[in-house]
Amino acid sequence: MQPRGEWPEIGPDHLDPPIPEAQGGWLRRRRPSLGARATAAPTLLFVLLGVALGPLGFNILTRTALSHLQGATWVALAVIGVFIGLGLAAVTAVSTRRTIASSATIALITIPTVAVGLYLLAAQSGIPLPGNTLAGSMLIGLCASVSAALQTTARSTAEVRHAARLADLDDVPLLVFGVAIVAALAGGSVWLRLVATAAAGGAIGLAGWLLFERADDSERGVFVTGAVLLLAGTGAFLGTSPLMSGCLAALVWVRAPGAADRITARDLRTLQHPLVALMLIIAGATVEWNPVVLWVTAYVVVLRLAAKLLASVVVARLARVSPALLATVLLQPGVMGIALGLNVAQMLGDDYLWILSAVTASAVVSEILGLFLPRIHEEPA
Amino acid sequence: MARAAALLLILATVMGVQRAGSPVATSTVTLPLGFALIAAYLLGAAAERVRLPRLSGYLLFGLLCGPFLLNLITSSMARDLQVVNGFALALIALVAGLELNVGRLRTYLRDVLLVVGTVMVGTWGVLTVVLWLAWPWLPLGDVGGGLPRLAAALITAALVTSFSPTVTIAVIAESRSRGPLSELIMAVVVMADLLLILGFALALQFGRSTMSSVPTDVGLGVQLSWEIFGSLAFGAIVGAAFAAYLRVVGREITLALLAVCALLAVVAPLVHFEIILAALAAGLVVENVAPPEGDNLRIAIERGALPVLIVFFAAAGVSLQLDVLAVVGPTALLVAAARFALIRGITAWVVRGAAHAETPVRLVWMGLISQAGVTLGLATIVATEFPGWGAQVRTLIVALTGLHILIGPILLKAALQRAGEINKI
Amino acid sequence: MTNGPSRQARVSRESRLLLLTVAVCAAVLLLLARLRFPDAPLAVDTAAPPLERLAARASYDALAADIQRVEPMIAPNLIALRVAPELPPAPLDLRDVLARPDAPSGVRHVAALRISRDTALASLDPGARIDGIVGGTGGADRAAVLAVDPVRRIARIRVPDAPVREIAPLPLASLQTPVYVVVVEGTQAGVTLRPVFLGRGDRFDSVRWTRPLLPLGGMAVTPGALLFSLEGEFIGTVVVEDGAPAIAGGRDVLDIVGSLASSTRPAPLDLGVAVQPLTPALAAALAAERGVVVSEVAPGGAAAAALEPADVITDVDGWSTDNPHEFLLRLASRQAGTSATIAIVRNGEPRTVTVPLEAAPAEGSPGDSDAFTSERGVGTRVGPDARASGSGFRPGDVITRAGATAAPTPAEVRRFLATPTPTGWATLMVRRDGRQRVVAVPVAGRSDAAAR
Repeated sequence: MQPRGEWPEIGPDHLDPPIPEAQGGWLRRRRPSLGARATAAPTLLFVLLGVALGPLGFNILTRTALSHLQGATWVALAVIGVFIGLGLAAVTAVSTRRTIASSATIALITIPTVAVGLYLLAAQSGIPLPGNTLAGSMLIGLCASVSAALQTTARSTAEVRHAARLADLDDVPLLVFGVAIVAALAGGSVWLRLVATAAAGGAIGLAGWLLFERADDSERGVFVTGAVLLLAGTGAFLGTSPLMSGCLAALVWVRAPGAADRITARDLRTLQHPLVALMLIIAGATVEWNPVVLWVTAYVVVLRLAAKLLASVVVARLARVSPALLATVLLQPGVMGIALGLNVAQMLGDDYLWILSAVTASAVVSEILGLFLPRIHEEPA
Repeated sequence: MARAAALLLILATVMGVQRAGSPVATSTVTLPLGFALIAAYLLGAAAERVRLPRLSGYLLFGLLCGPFLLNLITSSMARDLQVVNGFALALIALVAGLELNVGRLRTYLRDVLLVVGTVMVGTWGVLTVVLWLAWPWLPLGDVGGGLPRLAAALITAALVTSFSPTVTIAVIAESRSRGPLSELIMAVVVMADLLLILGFALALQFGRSTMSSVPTDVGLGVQLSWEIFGSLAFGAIVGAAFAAYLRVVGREITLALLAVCALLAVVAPLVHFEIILAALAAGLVVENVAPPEGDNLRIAIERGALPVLIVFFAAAGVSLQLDVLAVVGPTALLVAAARFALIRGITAWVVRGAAHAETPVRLVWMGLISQAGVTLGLATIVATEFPGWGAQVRTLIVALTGLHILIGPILLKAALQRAGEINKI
Repeated sequence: MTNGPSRQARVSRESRLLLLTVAVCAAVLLLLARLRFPDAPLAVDTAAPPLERLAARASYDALAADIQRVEPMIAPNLIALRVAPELPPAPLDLRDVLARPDAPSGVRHVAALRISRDTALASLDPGARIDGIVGGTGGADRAAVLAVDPVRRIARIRVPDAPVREIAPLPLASLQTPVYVVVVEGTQAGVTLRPVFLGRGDRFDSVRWTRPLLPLGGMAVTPGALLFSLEGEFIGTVVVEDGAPAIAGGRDVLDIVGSLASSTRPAPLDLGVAVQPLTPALAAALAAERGVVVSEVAPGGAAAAALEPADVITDVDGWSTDNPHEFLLRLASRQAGTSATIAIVRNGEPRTVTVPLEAAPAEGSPGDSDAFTSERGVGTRVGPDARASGSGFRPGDVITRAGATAAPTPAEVRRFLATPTPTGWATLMVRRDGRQRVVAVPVAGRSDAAAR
């Protein structure tokens, strides 16, 4: 996939960009007194904003209002899925076997550590986890395993680029297994619905490929919007996830000849951040806070930290990345876990709200911890 | 070919998804919205190929995929689609206001008043007499005789006479028409709509006084003033603010336009204002007091209006009740034919007295056939007020509206084509 | 290309026009608002405003969607009970049945709200008996009344074990009327949910309830129906107050059911007095302007030492009424174990007495009563004290058979009632209102004195 002058190059998804110097300057100046990293964390800000606006805060976003915003959540998940697909296609095109093996190893260390560890700890301490505890622990393990995407530039070293690819590839287990678990918990014929989601995503991708490039400006807006809405509605209607349908459609757009991928990326880029911000606010407003969530959050934070550090040490040599750099990159939680948690809560109801609450809270805590980590991957100022 | 293949793929996807459903199928508006956007647009483009208005394609999509035929869009999905109704009304009326230039209209003012006055009064009056005479043979319930029957005939005739500014303006907007006929038709339907609402309110009051024990409401004038003039004043303020934004800031115009429509759609009903009147006033102020420079607003309207129009008319097509047509079809056809003949005949008679007796005024009648949401809304009021015969009148109006919303846009587009005003923007 | 000054001038003129437009329209709006919403309300128009939302869907469609949405939130907690008639039916013969073949059987269907896995609340009369659960299979699915508050008619019921969703009561004070609410009623097919419109209204105080009630106006809603908001919050239950339906708040209802858990059958407070209205003649004769007149004082009652017949009760702890019904109900709602300061007028002299508030005295055995008199050749007549003794007899009943003894004398009746039986109950034949019927009464030593 060669970049053309007309369309911007598609790279790893940019869901967590740092705040530019012009806007972050006042934070940087206060850095010594704060003792914290200058880069503000969007997850933290928007989740806390959601908590303040939601029923736990000022109740501006009431439960009724949140139920009306479900459609927006599905659309946000579909758009995230599309960008994951676009990014994965780009990453896998340049990834070697070594990179893929490293990513798989990281997943094999992180996911079971968090999932099994949480399951055993919860059983030992008698925490009453509603719903299917094993499936819930697996979902939390998958959500905890993802890391924030890392933005690289032309000046980034090879080591930093390798680390960035590893951070991008860790979305795959969540997409595949996470969605499968959600489908299983929803009941009914799991395989049929998973296959239907994948087929629908592919079919919508194909339809988009046939329509986008030949359309004029106003038509293209209608087609892209319609395709995203269909992807969102498909995942929701089939009881799986718009993440999967969006990702598959994006893969079709990348693999198909033409510029469908670039058209989609350009048209959706303006919506991406507002939708992610909205999703984080909705997540913050939806979470519940009780002793169960508190304990699960504590376990997840500790287990994730341990698992990521262990994985960094184990995989460093294989991936040819320093353990410190790898740890710094892998520890940033990102929004994918929260996205799947929100998917679970809206699809499966209050019995699994603890998953969203724990994943969101642990992401916020991990992000705060990350503020105190040295930013080894950043170029010197 | 590519578009046809894409349409089939989308159709197959939606059918497959519905078959494969889930025990926790989350009710969401996104699936029917996405389906309507793409499929209705493609059908609209196909309709344009055979020189029909795009609206007809959107309506056809709704009809085919609605609960009565393929049922790809179920009744509950149709209800969810109507969430854009208020927003669409605001956008359509805003566009109408932006198209109406008072300076240019001055030359047609006499014709507008002549057409509105004679067509409305003539059609309404004749239909009242006909309905009063024929009432016992019509399937409209028993209202007795004398004054109650007269009141019922008056109210029903008002409903039958009513026009639809939304469909008319939408056809003119989507066909990018500009010219004397377009402006004349828009001015006529908007003014006729205003006068008809006034007349309907008075007829309703007359009906209440003859058929129920509710005393004549002395506050009716105040309520009407609030709802009509208050709407216009509110819309003018919003329009002035929008015009100032376009002058001072002039950025993100599409978003600003959609925000104005959302504001009108949400706030107006809360205080019993009419969305159409408020949005019309807003557009009039922007166009006539501080017209924007350049093409940015026009481009923003094209970008923002298209998806809204598609969903609005697709939803209208879905909610067409074919079973009602089957029940009262013959009566509806008769009444529709009578209305058609009256509008056609009276307009022809008016033309002879019009200052501009050439193309624009002669073809105006083709823009007066459409009926849509306004009529249905008024019919619902009648059904609520007079549960017996009112409900049956509503059934007839639903059938009539279904007929007129299919025929009206086709006639109007033909008129615009004959006047050579299509794609002039 | 426009030159600078003329463009500037044009922009300036347009800005002035915009400002003028805003000013004029704002003035018009304010004027219309003053007319439309004046300080004094306009004449009430009971019909809808002439202009409704154009092209909007009918409001009942939106309501149907709301009902669909709220149903899964509350349905798991709802049960429909089949309630048998509270009083034993009068004896019937074939002539009675043929005279009214379509007479109702007396069975009612009542909606109950599950408050825990195995208990629920419902609006029932004290003597009500639950025949079964609609949709239940009997046996382990049976429900039974655990306790009833006889004043408020709220019952705590044991129901088959099942999961329960948390109930969030919505305080009546925070219910914004006018509003649509969901009414849950019991029917032969289970519970039904329907929307009901609550008009604008203020709450009013009730003698029986702690918190004020909300009137329902002329609504056709079954007493005992449960009300929920469109968000699934429990608003309360429909009660009858002064002959008109009203809503008792959910918190009140839940508090009552909670208090029922800690006692078996809470006895209403009874001072042991009977009261009658203060007519103008009595007011003149007794030199009292307001209050209720004591007509009878039970010898063993709580007020026996403090009140006398012909006393006029004007005030009880700062609260006064002229309505005997309201007086007795208000007292019955008080807490036992406290005392009341009662202002009275006796022989024209105002005075104050203190009366300890005790629960209704334990009902003694009917065999202890002195209410029996002989009806030679027929049996034994039950006198006016029968009700006070808590037996199943009514004043005027004639006992025609006691066990194997026909036409028993009062002594034979007493002996019969004093003899213990394996079941603790004895059956007698009585003649009441011209009809023969079978009555079961508890025998001596049995604590549950209510007759069946």
